[in-house]
Amino acid sequence: MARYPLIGYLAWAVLFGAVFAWEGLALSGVRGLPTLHGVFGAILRYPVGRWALFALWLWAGWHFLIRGWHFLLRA
Amino acid sequence: MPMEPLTVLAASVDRQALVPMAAGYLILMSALAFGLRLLYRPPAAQAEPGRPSGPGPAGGRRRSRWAAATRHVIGTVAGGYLLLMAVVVAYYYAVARVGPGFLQSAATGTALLMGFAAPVFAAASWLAERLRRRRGRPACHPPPEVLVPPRAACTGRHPFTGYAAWAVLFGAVFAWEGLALARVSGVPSLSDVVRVIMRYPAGRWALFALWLWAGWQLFIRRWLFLPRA
Repeated sequence: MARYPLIGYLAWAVLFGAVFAWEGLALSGVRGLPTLHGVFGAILRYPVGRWALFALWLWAGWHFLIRGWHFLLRA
Repeated sequence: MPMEPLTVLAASVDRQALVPMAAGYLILMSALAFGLRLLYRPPAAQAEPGRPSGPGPAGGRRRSRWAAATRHVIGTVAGGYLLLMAVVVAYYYAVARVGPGFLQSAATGTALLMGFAAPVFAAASWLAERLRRRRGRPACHPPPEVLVPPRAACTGRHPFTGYAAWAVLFGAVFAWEGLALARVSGVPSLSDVVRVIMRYPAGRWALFALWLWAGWQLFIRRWLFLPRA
């Protein structure tokens, strides 16, 4: 497995931290901020959006959980 | 090593990794833009998506909420699965022949995942329904006979900048992933991060649970237990 400097992983943590922080602000009722639920709601309102999001979710599961791994067992 | 093969190799890596990622971001943002356009259309001009055009509840066509939701979920699953397979096949033949077994893995792996998810979603929905009945229906819940309720008074609409901020945040995530896939030194891809987490059984289970939770929230709970956004 390739190894990277810690800063590379920290950048990912900061990015996901920003996503969660933004969601936290929206959930706490800050005016004008939609929650992630609201954003996905806009996409899920019509069939093609639902198909695209379902395909993305399924792809993420396949890519991260199945490909190249012995499913849920030691790799 | 001569310069030409190196350039070809780099171009191939870029094509294999960056094209699908950029396409994914564009598809997601296009879907968001289209959904927002529907949401912000004047109510009079707005035809409710997914709403049957035949006679409504007043015309005597009453369906149970569960039957309607089941139809809805089956439509989403079938459409999403076919869309993913179409994209995977197009990627394989038009962008990169990734290796033997790729197409088979895509078809069977995703089917296996759906097979795992279906009983979990059914159990979670049954539990949530029991809890909902015990607590009483929420104030904004649509009546059972309504498959896709009209834009309700409780639906929140926000300024466009609020949605744009989310687009920028997701753009930053995709851009960072793009840098990693372009082999910028010291930048791990999301797959590398996930691989680190999945080295441990607890990490694998946690990721699998997170994936299932996201799927249930997006495609099941929203249609059974929440008002439409």
